[in-house]
Order: sequence, then structure tokens, then C-alpha cells
Amino acid sequence: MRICLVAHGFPPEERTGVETYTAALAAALVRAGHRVEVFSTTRAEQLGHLALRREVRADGYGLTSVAIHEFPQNPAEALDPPGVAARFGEWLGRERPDVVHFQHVIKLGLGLIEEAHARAIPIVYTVHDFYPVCHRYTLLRPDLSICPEPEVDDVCARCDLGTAVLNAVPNIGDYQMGVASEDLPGPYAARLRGVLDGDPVAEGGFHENDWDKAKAARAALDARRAEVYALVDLALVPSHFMGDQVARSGLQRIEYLPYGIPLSDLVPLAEQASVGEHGGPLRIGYIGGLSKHKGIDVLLDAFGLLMRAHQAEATLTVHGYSSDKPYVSQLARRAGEVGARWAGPYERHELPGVLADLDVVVVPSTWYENAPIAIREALAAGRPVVTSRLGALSESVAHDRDGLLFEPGDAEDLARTLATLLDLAEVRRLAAGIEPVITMDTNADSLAGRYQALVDANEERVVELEKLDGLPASLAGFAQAVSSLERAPQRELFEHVVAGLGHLGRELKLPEQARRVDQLVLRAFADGDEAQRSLRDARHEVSWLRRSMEGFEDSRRSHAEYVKWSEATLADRDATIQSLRAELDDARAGRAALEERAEWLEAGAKAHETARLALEGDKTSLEEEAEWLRGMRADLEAERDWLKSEVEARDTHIAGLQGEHQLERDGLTKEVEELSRELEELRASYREAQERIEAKRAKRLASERAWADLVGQLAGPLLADTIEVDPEREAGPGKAIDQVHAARTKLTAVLEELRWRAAEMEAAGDDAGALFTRRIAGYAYRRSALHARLAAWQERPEGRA
Amino acid sequence: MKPVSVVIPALGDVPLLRRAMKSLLLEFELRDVGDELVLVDDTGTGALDRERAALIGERKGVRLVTRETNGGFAAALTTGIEAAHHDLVFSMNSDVVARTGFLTPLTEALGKDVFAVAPAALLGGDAETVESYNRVRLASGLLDVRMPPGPAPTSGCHPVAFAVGGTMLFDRRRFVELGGFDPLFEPFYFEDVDLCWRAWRAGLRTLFCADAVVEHHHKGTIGRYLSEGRRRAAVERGELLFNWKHLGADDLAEHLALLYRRTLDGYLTDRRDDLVWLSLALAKLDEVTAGRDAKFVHSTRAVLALVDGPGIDAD
Repeated sequence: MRICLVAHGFPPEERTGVETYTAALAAALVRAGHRVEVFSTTRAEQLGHLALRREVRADGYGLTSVAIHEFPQNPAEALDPPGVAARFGEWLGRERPDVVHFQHVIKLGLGLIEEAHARAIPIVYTVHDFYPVCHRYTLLRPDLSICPEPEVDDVCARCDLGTAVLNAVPNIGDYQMGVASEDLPGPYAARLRGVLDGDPVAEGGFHENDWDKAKAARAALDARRAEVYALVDLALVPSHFMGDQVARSGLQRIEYLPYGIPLSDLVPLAEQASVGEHGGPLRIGYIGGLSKHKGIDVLLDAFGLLMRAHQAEATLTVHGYSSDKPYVSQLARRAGEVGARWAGPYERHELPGVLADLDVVVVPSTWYENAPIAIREALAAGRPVVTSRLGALSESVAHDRDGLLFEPGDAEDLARTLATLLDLAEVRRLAAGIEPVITMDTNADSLAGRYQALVDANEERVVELEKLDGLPASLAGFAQAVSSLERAPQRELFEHVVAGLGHLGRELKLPEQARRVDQLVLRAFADGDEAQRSLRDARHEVSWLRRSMEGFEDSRRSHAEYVKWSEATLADRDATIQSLRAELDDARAGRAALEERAEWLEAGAKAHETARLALEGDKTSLEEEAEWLRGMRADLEAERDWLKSEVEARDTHIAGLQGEHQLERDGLTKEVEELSRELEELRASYREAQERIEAKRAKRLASERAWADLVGQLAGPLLADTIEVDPEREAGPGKAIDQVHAARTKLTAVLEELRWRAAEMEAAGDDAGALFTRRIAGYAYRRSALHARLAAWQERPEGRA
Repeated sequence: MKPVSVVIPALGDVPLLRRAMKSLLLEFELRDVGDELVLVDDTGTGALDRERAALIGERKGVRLVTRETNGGFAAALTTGIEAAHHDLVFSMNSDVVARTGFLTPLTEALGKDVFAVAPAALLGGDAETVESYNRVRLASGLLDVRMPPGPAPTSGCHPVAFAVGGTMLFDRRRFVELGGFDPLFEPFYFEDVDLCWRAWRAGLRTLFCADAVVEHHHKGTIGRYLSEGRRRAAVERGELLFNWKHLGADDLAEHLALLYRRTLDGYLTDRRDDLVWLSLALAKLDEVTAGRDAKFVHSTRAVLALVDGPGIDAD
């Protein structure tokens, strides 16, 4: 079969698991008799972007590399790098494989799968990592934590925004998969946490529109990925864990097929360099990539703890490579601090020597992993493995049988675990528990069987696509012949035709001279051919492009200098503008202040004018009022004078009256006194009279009583009721009493008259006083009002002026 | 007027056949010399036989001959020729519509030194595009078919390199003498060029008769079965085989050089079709060399000279 393997990188440029596996598989398939072509990438600087180069490797397979010098500018380009799929399509058109086996499509693009599908070529995909369900292929988030899906919604879009946060961190360098939050500056760490686990808007610092766009974009990209993966005819997973994880991708048919590895040079180590037989300290090793998620930092910390507890009872050697140079430097420094040996990168052919110097291999990954090649290599060499109890790793290492598991990311637990191996007997016990590792050839055979089944099943599709079925008999043979040739690789066609032309020359009986290669070459190519013309044209065009590029570069440099000068000038001008703006602002502020003052002055002037006019009016009215008041005053004064005279007159009158009254009162008083004396005399007389009366009365009464008694005794009750006794009516004292009554009545009338006159005098005085008081009060009111208004006017600026 | 047997190989397109038959039967009627139409059912399934009643009915002068297997145009034509009643045979594609009066000029042009006569075949009925007026050119070691510059003649008879197999009149006895169509070119294309070229090399001419007009509507069945790419492959293969069969020894070296150049260019510039066509032709190499052994009166270069007009462009 013609088998095409596709990988995103290839040794020696790339030496991690997938790449080395692909190289080993290619060699194994060639050994099995298949024709193998590998399509991969290269960073070779001498090649233009997307240029293809083919070489034949010593193991007998062809390797075509597409140069990649431009990198994705956004997630959509990361999924489908522009131009790569088209180049792969051209390459497929030339190679015409029977089956394409993708080891990965990262850096190459999903379009490669579509190109193979469009050509009705069966597609196999080995799921080496989580790319079918995770655009970061590790299920690791930008903070290097494991994806919490499905507990957190929109995790993929959050990772996109998280990447944007990391990209904004100054001087972060090539952070590869991510950066732990504790290694970020505070604000960025908080933003990253907010984006990944909280509210990307409220806590992550993104606008709501950005968040919505991120979700929509990621959903579209994930949908595209699922759509393309659905085109894969057979997906192979080397671990059941991986199979479970990618079940939700677009992959339709998923089968478990464990890896094989080249191990012919490793197996002998189990006996030739058995672990724990060297008599020295425990030799711990790491082999593999040095990315952050491989957990080498955990191993170094664990080793540090181990050494503090068990000095010189163990060694640690780190073998590996990563393009994350700052991180590798950091690890190397840490290795020095804990006393580990930093061995750096190694080639595959050096692996036996590397493993021979180790007793145990540690794979301290902090991500789920899949089926690490390094574990298989170590086990094949009879080295137990210590690895994280995480993801698929427990499928590769059986705890306490051929290795040990520890808590992922826990340096202390790893240290404790390693400490149990300080007793090399334990190491030997675990080594004895290692079961044979699947070889690469076995793996290749398993794959070849699957390839063939797919090719056979695909034949119907090809027949249908090429419309070979149902052809008239006269056409079928020809169509089949054309179809077979169309499916042949271009190289084979070329070889076949060249051979055929040699035969043609003989069959057509060309003279031998004419068939000589040199003659043929001269005749065919001396005058040039189309390829030569195309090449010359291409060279000329390249030369022209180069000159144009140089010209553009010169222009760019000039432009850059001009831009620099312009920027400097603009910066100066900006500063000037800023300064002028500041001055303008000051001027504007000043003008505003002046305008405000002017307005205020104008308002003030207006108010002044208004006030002045008002004052004028007031003045006029005040003057009028003053005039009126003056008039009033004059009137009031006149009235006052009049009242004064009246009051004086009255006073005089009252005085006169008072005098008269006084005289009269004196007279009356005297008269009263006289009358009083007279009254007293009369009273005395009255009392005397009274006494006489009383005495008479008593005598009379006694006589009456005596007569009454007599009468009574004589008349009795018959005369008692008809006689009215009025003591007052008796002559003598009755007249005095009448005179007293008359005097009293007269006195009473005189007193009443005095009282009335006094009341009259008081009323007259009250009226005059009231009138005067009212007039004076009115005058005082008006005067006080005038004073108040004058005082108010005096309070005004005009008044003050 | 000599009667003619018109032979139409058919792959079953009945409507197309009816259209072709209509013009023919009218021509027969007008000529009234006993022309016949021989329909050859080349479906290999007897499909036309089932349509016999609809196609032929009680018409006179129309026969249906059924092949047991599909053999392609050349084989079907041969079958028809063998079944024909007359010596003069007009081979016709089912997508050709004859214009009234086409047969007589053809028969009149078929002289004793003429192998075949081609009518003016108008592509799609367009008088400006006459398919059947052609030349073969020799340039850079390659014989290829070209249309001569300028318009085709509109009257009289003129030499042409070949008569298109789907519209040519010939005497079947000469057809048989010449060996008929070479199976080397099966299933189709260039068998007619080869036949007429062999005729030329044997001293017999092929003429273009401008007074006989047919329309070729290119709605043939082949297009339903084979893509344009595959039809092109047949053309290119046929051209190569024709060259290998007829190029003189003096031109073979140049031709081989051209093939090497074409091979390398095709490989380097990703024109794999060139490689496919060469492969197809090379697969027939043994049959080609057998064909080169035939003895002829004229060389290819001589024939090129015999075919009048700007047909020779030898380097």
C-alpha cells in the first residue's frame, strides 16, 4: 500500500512523542513492505513560506516538509492556517496514497483532512492528545489548571479570553501553554481568575460584547472542528481514557489501539543494565519534553525534599528539550539548586545510553496525558516508572506492579513515593513486574491491517466517484486503465514512462546512436524545455521579487525613519499642541471668567441701571412721598399745633373745669361735709329720735301690748289681724327720716353728677389724647417708614455711593 | 446514383436516433435509389431491439442489427458494414443530422482513387465551424491534427488528411482491403485518422466534399459514460499511437526527444496528465510495433505533401 503519514513536526527539528512515534512508524511500515510518504512541517529559513521540500530518509520513506514561517493571527487561522491545506492537496495529487494517517493536524490545519476526503482517500487519525475536543489540545487552561468542563460554562471561550489576558502581560515572553496564576502580577492574576472561573465582564475586565463575540467565535470554530473530524474514517486512541474524552467530538468510529515503540535497542538493557544492580544510589531520571505541563518543576521540588531528607542517596538527571527557553532556563537553575543534573536534549539513538544510567523514570505530568512514549521506552528498558495518578497515566503504569503513582502536582507525595525506592530492592521488584511492551513492528502490522480494510471498503466509493460501474464493455477497460494511472503517484508514473520511452526507442527501431542517453538529453533539452523556461522565469521573477523586496525594504526603512522622524515631530507637536491647548484652555478659562465677569458687570450695570431707574423712580416716589410726608408732616404739625392748642385749650378748659369741679367738689365736699355733719347730726337726731321712738315705741308697744293684752284679753283674736303696725309711719321720727332720705337722694344725685363729670372729663381727655396719639402715631409711623426706606436705600450701593 | 448503406452504431439513445433517422429517411426518399439504414445495437443488452417497433416499425430500408456485446464505435461500424447490402457505406454517428442532398455529392466524389469522402460536418449546425476540414501537421517530431487556417471551402471536393469516422462515405471493399479500423485505437478516437492515413499511404485519397452537408450536434452517448478528462486521454493516447505507427524513421529521434521533454516537463510542472497519456500509449507499444511492419506506397512525409494546403510544417 501507499501510506501517507501526516505529523505537525518531525525529527530532528521536533523530537517530542508524536514526532518520534511517526518516524518510527514510517520506518516500521517500510520494513513491512509498504511505500510510505510523510508530510510534515519545517522551519527551515532558507525556504519560502509554504515551500515544499522532499527528502528520502535512510529508513526508506520519503519526507515532504512544508515550510511554515507565518503564524496564525487568530483562532480561526490556528484551526486552518492559510495556504497549508492547498499545498497538502497538491502534494496528495502527486503522491496519490491509498490511505492517509494523521498523527496530528495542529499547525497544519483541519483543511488537510478535507483535502484527503475530497480525493476519496481513506483517513485514519491517531488521537495523540485532546485536540478533537480542546483547541489547546491539553485540556489545560491558560493558568495551567485542568479544564473543569462541564462544571464551568463556555470553558473554551474563557480560555480564548484567558489567552488574551496573558498576551497583555508585559514581558511575559513565549509562555507556551500558559502561566500559573501565582507567577502573574496581581492585577493580571485577578483578571485571569475572573475570566476562567468568574464573570469575564465584571471580574475579567472584558466588555460584554467581547465576551459574547468570544463565545460565538469559539462555538463556530468548535463546530467546524467537529464537522471535519466527522470525515475521519477511523480514529485510533491509545488509551481508554482518551477514548472517553473524545467520544463527544465529531469522530465517528473510535477504536482502542495501544502504541508500539521501537525497542530493539532498549529491551537488552533490562538484562545488560538491570536496575538497582550497580551498587550506587538510586538514579532517578526524566526523559521527554520540558513543557510546563510535564511537571518537571514538581520533580525538581520533590528531589529537593528527598535530598534534604536522604542526602546523597539518590541522583536526578533531566533529559529533554523545549522551545520554551525561559522556562527551560528556570528549570535548569532549579535543577542546580536541588543538586539535579541537567542533561538537556538527546537524540533517539542516545536513548539506550540515557536509560542505562537510570533506575527509575519519573513522568510527573500535571495534565491528563494519553499514553506517553517515554513511559513505554522506560518500561521496555526494564525501568519502573513513577507517574502522576491522573488521566490516562494509570493505564500506562500499574501501581505497585511496574511502577508507582503519586498525587499530581504534589512534590511532597512524589518525594515520599521516591523515598520508597531508595531501597533498590523495591526498584528491582517493580522492574520484575514490567510486562513486554508492544513493538513498533507489531503496531505497524496492526495499523496496516486496518489500512487495508479501509482501502478495500473504500474501493466502492472510488468506483462510484470515478463512475467505473455500469460502463459499456468497450469503455470499461479503458476507463479502468485511466483510473489506475490516475491513482498512481506521479513519481511512479514518471519512472514508468521513462522506462517505457526507453523501450519505445528500441521497439521503434531507433538507431542505437539516437537512443544514447547523451544524445537523447541533448536533443530533448539542449534547446530548453518548459520546466527550464518556467524555472528561469521563476528565477527571474524571484530575482525581481527580491529586488522589489529590497526596494520595499529600503522604502520601508526610509519610511520607518520617516515615520520615526514624523513620530518625533508629532510628539513635539503634540507637546506643543498640549501646551497650546493648555494655554488655550487657560485663555478660554480666562475668557470665560472675563465673560462671566463681563456678564456679571453687565448684569450689575443693568441691575444698577434698573436700580438706578428704580431708585430714580424710588427717589421720585420717595421725593413725592417725602413731599407728601412733608406735607403730611406739615399737616400733622399743624394738626399737632392745633391739637396742642386744643389740648391746651382743653387742658385749660379741663383745668378750668377741674378748677370748677374742684371748687364745686370742694363746695360739694364742704357741702358733703356739711351734709355729712348734718347727716351725722341728723343721724344723731335720728338716733335720738329713734331712741325716743324706740322708747316711745317700746312704751307704746308696752302700752299696746298691755292694751292688746287687755284687748286681747278682752277682744282677743278678733282684732289682731286688722291692725298694721308700721313703725316708720309714726309722726316725729318719720319726717326726719324723709329728710334724711331726701338728703341722701340729693347727695347721691350730686355724687352721680360728679362722677359723670369726671367721666366726661376723662373721656374728653381720652379723645383728645387719642386723637393726638393717633395723629402722632400716624406721623410716627410715616416717619419710621420713611426712615426705614431711607435706611434701605442707604444700604444700596447707590445709596452708599 | 449508387445506393448507399448508412450505418449508425447506437448505444441506445432513441430520441437521438429518431432525429438522425428522420433526416436520413427523407434523403432516402428523395434519392429513391434503394438506400438503406443499418442501425447497429451496440448496447450489448439488446436495448434497441426492444425499441424495434418504435424505431423501425414497418419502414422499409431500415434494419436493426444487434451485437451480443458492446464493442465500441469501430466494432459496431464493422458489424454494420458486414451487414450492409450495398458497397457504398456511409458511417454515421447517432448525433449527426444530415441535410437534404448530402449523399449524392458524396457518392459522386468517391472515385476509384478515393478511399473516403467526408461531408462538411457543421459543429452544432454552425456553418462557420466545419469539423471535417482538416490537416495533419508534422512539427517538432509530432504529427498532430489541426484545422487549416481560413474558412473551409464551401463547394467542391478537396483533399483532407482524414474523414471523421462518424461522417464518412467509403467503399466497404476498400475498407476491408485496408484492414478496417485498427483495434489498437479502441475504444475510440484516431481510428479514423489512422485508417485514412493508411489509405493515403496506400495511394488512396480522402476528400472533403463541401457540397454534402451534415450537422454534428455532439450529444453522443460517450459523454454520458466518460468524463471530458477521459475522453481527452483517449485522444492524446490515440495521437501518440498514430505517431508511433506512422512517423518515419527520420522523425522518430526528434519525436522521442519530444517525448522525453514532455515527460520531464510533465513531472516537474505537475502536468501528470501528460504522464498518464504516455503511460496509456506505452501500454499498447507491442501492438504499435506490429502495425509499423505494414508496407505502404507512401511515407508519412510524402502523404503530408500529397494532402494539399498548409498541412506540412515539418522542421
